[in-house]
Amino acid sequence: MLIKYYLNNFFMKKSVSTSVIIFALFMVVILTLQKKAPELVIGMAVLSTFLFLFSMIVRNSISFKPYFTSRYNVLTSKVRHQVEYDLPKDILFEKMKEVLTEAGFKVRHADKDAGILVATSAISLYSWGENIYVDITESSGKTKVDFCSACFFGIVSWGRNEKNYERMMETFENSLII
Amino acid sequence: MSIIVNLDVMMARRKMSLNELSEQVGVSIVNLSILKQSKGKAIRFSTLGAVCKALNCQPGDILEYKDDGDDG
Repeated sequence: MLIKYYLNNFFMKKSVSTSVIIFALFMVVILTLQKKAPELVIGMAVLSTFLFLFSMIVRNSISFKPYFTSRYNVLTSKVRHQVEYDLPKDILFEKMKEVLTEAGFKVRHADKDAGILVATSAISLYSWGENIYVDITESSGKTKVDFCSACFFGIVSWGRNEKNYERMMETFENSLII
Repeated sequence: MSIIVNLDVMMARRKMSLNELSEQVGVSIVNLSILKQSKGKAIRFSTLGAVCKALNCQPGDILEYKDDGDDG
């Protein structure tokens, strides 16, 4: 957990040169392993491909939310935040849906009664994309928004989960200027 | 909050629904609801102008300053 934290912090400030160095180190490790234990590399590649395809298939399904958000799933790096607002749940739900789209995420699932939103970020050069889960609940006159950004596939998020949260909050704050 | 939005009062006077106002002003119903509940952070002059035009009123009819005794 501590290593993951430091790696995330490290990659938050990443530059192109850092990424190249990391990629080069990774390649050196793989090539060294390939010479000494080729079966291990093939096994790792097969396992990675299987996990990638599995994640790809279940990504947009709400049923697999526990898989992506579980704190015991070390294959998907994730970031959680909780914010409170004094807006009614139904208005906040619609607002969050609007904000997610404005922030550049694609809303895949929206359940107004349950207050659940599922969105995905786009695949880029640095990332396979992240899954965004927003839960809106009402309790004691306040509306709570639980935000979770989970890597679609990756032990380290490269700081993208935090960036997703910041992007969503910034869009939300800006959208309050009507 | 010191500034109170009396949008619901003006809408009731003009017998206009949130849907109608949203269509005329070009602002989403969600945003108008937030504005109506005085939960917005700020209002653009363009939005204020459009609301005044739609409701045939003055900005002072929609916005009201109330001294709540809070110095902050």
